[in-house]
Amino acid sequence: MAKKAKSTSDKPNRSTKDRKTLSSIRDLADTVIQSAERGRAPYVDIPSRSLSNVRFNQSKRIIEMGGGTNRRELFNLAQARSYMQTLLVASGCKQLIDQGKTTSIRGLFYLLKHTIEGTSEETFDTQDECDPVIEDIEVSLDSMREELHLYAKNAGGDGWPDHTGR
Amino acid sequence: MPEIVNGKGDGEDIPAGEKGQKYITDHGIEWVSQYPIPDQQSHSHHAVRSGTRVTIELEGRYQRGRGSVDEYLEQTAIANPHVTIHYVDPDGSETTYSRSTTKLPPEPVEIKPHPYGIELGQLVTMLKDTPGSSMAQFLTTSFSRVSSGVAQKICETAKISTRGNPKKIGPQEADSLYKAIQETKISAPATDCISPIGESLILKGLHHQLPGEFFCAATRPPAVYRGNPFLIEVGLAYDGASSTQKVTLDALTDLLSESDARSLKQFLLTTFDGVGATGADKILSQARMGTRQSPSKLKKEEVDQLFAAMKNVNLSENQSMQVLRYANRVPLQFQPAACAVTQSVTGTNWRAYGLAQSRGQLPVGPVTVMVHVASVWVPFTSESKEAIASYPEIVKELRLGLQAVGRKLAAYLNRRKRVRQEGERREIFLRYLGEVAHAVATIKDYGDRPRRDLYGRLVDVAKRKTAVADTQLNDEGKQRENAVEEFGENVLIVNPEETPGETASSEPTA
Repeated sequence: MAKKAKSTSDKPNRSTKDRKTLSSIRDLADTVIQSAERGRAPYVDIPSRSLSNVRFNQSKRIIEMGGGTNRRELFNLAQARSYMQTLLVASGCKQLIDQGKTTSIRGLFYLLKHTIEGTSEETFDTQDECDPVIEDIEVSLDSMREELHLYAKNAGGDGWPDHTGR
Repeated sequence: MPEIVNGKGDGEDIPAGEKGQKYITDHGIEWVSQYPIPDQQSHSHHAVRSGTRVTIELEGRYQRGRGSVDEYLEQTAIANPHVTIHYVDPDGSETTYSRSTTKLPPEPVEIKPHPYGIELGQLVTMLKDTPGSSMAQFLTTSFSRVSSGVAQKICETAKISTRGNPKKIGPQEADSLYKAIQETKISAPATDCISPIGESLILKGLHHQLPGEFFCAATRPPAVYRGNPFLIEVGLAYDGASSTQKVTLDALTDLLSESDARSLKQFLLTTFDGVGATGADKILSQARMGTRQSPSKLKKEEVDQLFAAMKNVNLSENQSMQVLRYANRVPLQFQPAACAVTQSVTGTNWRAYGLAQSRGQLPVGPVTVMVHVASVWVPFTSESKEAIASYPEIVKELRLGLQAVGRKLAAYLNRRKRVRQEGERREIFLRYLGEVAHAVATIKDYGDRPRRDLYGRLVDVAKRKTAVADTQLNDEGKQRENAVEEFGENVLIVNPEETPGETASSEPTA
């Protein structure tokens, strides 16, 4: 990775939406840094997408999610791996946004998949492992897939520069 | 050792020192010394300050392995850590079991027999021989724990006058007297007539002679069976190299040539403790030798092969527990199956304490248990005094002692398991930490240095969260507190990496 100076000013074409998404991702990273500095275990609170957290809103007449969240910790044996994967996806999306590129979720999977240094374990074993994590990020950052520069369908090739066509 | 060369003075008791010298010259006994004496003529002896010399001449066959003299001495050294034993075997090699304490065991105090333990025949004899002139006198002076009140009660129950003459008691009256004694409530005897080894000395004895990382001991309070005070002590040593790994090449060669086992497998089974059939097979297949080969006919290379295999094969997975039995500090070597001690050990549920155990068998693992039955009268199953009889009171105390020691072992094994588990946990966390640090660094556009800082900080948190993995057993100060809290008293833990002499224990500093 190139040593970049901390600045977003060399990307004049970044849309407001992109900036908003980036700041959410950066907030996520900040929580990790703060926890580490305080000597606490870093965690992410992911809104719960299970049936227990779903309610029918009478006035709006729609089914909507409640405010329930699930906490995913780094120092919990059962959650450590998904925590790591969550952070990884966030960083992957940040890279896409920075570079002004978009890719499929399959593409992101392959981008992020590698062997963890010093072990024979992979960050992601199959795409089925990666997709739910992407959804988790979507819900946590309250961003749509497209805002994270991801799209679901494979067809049409991977990673072309974002441009406004006419 | 000096040897008489002209056949005189055989079997005669020759006093030591100057008197002995005179005796020797008077009777014309010629002798020669096996030790190099600078001046053969003067035979200057320095008088030993004090001690007891016992010399016995007997004829026997010197046999090694299980049930041998060597084994007897080694076991004696364990139960008697205040004793130093110098042993020169018939081949001339010397072994010394040095004492590990200068504290002598307390001397037992003599007591009179307790009425409950007296048989009818003994009672009759005592009646005939007593100097007392009345029944009341006879009862109070011949027995412990019999006051005049108790004597009166006995006589009432037996319908005998307290003032009757003991020598005039007939067989029928003796019988009713015997029954009356059994029926009357008499308090238990004093127990200072027994000399227990004591927990701290058991630990010392075990640690001195047996390899291991964990030792614990339990001394039961004294109890009574049939009027006889007795006391059970149990010691346990865990985790050491098995007996087959300890033997030297020379010793192995000697053992092989002397063995009368018909096959190699039998040789291994009988000569070494704790080797089962599977263990013997394992060793032999590693050595690529037939189980049926004759031990005495092995060539040198084959012996070497066998030796190498024995050193390498770790038997402790299948090695069954070794049980050392003692009656009044004397090792019992034979008839283990008939002994109450072995039966109690087999009957204890060692699975509850972390050892594997098949039904009705001794548990499996690198563990040695020593059981000491101390009593005024240890009940044996036969005149050969090889196995202890299973009186219910004794069996109950055995069980309790074994359980006490088992609990301490369980605490130790659990702690080891936890340490291992925490270590594994920490490893997993450290694996993912790197990735997390990298991801965060990407998001925040960190350079190398801040990324490494973050990683370091996360590692610190990880270490703290898995702190139990850091519990090493080599910090003497820390261990001392921990050992007492976690394991209770009378436990000794040895870290194999420490230099000898640096062990911490939780023995009371009394």
